[in-house]
Amino acid sequence: MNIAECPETAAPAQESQVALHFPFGLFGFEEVKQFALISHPAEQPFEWLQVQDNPNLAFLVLPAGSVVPDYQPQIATEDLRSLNLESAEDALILNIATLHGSDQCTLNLKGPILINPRSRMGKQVIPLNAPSLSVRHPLRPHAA
Amino acid sequence: MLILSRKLNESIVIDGAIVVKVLRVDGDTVKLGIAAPDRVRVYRQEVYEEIQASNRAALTRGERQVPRLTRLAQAMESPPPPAKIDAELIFQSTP
Repeated sequence: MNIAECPETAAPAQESQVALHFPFGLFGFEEVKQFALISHPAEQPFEWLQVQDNPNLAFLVLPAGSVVPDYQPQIATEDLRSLNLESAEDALILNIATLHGSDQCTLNLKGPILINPRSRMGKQVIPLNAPSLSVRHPLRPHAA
Repeated sequence: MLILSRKLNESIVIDGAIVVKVLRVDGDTVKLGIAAPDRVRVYRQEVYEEIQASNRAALTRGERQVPRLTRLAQAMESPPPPAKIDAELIFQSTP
């Protein structure tokens, strides 16, 4: 089928997907090691970290700094080294978002996800400055 | 639970690979040094449990609620230009 002739049948925008390996899983989900990071232009800056073999299970994530500009997690050298990263600047860092009801959303700044984009390996880490970071940082819509 | 008494600067060895040493005792605070292989992850229990609970609450089951998220993203407090993390762009250098 020629998609150009049938725009209504084509995907409205391109979804991109990258397979990631988490050798240690996530906290509380240690047995889940394969994820797909799914991006859709209409959902930016949000993305989905989906359990690879179960499309029904996913975490909503935001790239660190996209909505909390002064977020500065201090990543331990051991955590960087375990992903073969020289510095945190070489990593993709994500924060997991939690939806509460229909219009409340919080961000976990205390347990960010560290990803080496080259090896596509990821790990949830506890930064050295975790005591000063919130596990439920509120995201507030603008007052109208 | 195995219970051992240790003095300052004394250690215990776990499984031949993990060493836990008492570095300082100050009132009700004990400072421990832990040497372990990289594959062994060591966390403060309360922080570990807090993040574990947060992950469980964050897990989305079934339908993903895109429209609401889109509105939320647009309404986000003073967002800088969203960090462009088009996965294809970021990962394109991978062989």
